[in-house]
Amino acid sequence: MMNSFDELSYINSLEKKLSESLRPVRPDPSFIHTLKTKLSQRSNINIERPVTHPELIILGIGLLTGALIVWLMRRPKS
Amino acid sequence: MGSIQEYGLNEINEENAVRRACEGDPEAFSFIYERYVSRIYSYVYYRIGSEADAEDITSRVFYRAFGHIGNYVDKGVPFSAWLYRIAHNLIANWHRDSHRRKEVPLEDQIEMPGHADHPERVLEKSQEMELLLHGIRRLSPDRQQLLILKFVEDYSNAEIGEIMGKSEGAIKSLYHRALIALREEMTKIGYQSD
Repeated sequence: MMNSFDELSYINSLEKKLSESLRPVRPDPSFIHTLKTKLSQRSNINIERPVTHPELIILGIGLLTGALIVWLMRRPKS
Repeated sequence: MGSIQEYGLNEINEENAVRRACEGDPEAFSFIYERYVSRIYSYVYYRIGSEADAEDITSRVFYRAFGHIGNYVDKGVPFSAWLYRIAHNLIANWHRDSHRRKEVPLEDQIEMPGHADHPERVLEKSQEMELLLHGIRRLSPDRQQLLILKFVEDYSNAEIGEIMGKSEGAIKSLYHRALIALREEMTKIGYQSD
């Protein structure tokens, strides 16, 4: 069982070890270049926008209305 | 719309590069890529310990950023926070998927990368380093993220707070708990400190 002094000492030692051991890792330059090329081959950044096509909705409503009118006119009168 | 090349060198900074990338300028995104690719790779590498998977996840981070940058909203935090958030989520997916795969022994999990500047290479099969990395990877994701951002990326507590969406005080507290948890994990796996 560690007392508080031992624990503090251990933590300080661990902190020092982390500071000494952890260094930035550089990726392979060919990976950086290849990924950059692949990204740049995409012609444009795709900006996502809500997909709303009012003209299609109006056209659809128009077609449905027309079809309904035709159906009503051609319906045999009882 | 002018491209980033139309700006003088002094005018190109992260803020206007991000703004122009959001407007669809690929040159601006390229500037951001150059600035962050190594940092994101390094972060991912320390989180998962495999060079090949780190490259794969880093690629996914930038593809996702590239595809969604139009939705990016500047909330006054560094742009890097957005990239680290994407990386953090992809790493979580990777861990979830890797748990479905067969467990492999500890000695097989620590990969010795081929590049001379990789930490494990520098310390040449140092068991101590292996145990330290293994101990870190046993911590919770937010504790791992904090230790990597602090010791690998050399960010201050305030900067880490901005990236992780926490206050500086919360980061200090999390840091203290992370060190205690790391000490416990290191003891479990047989690490003896100097």
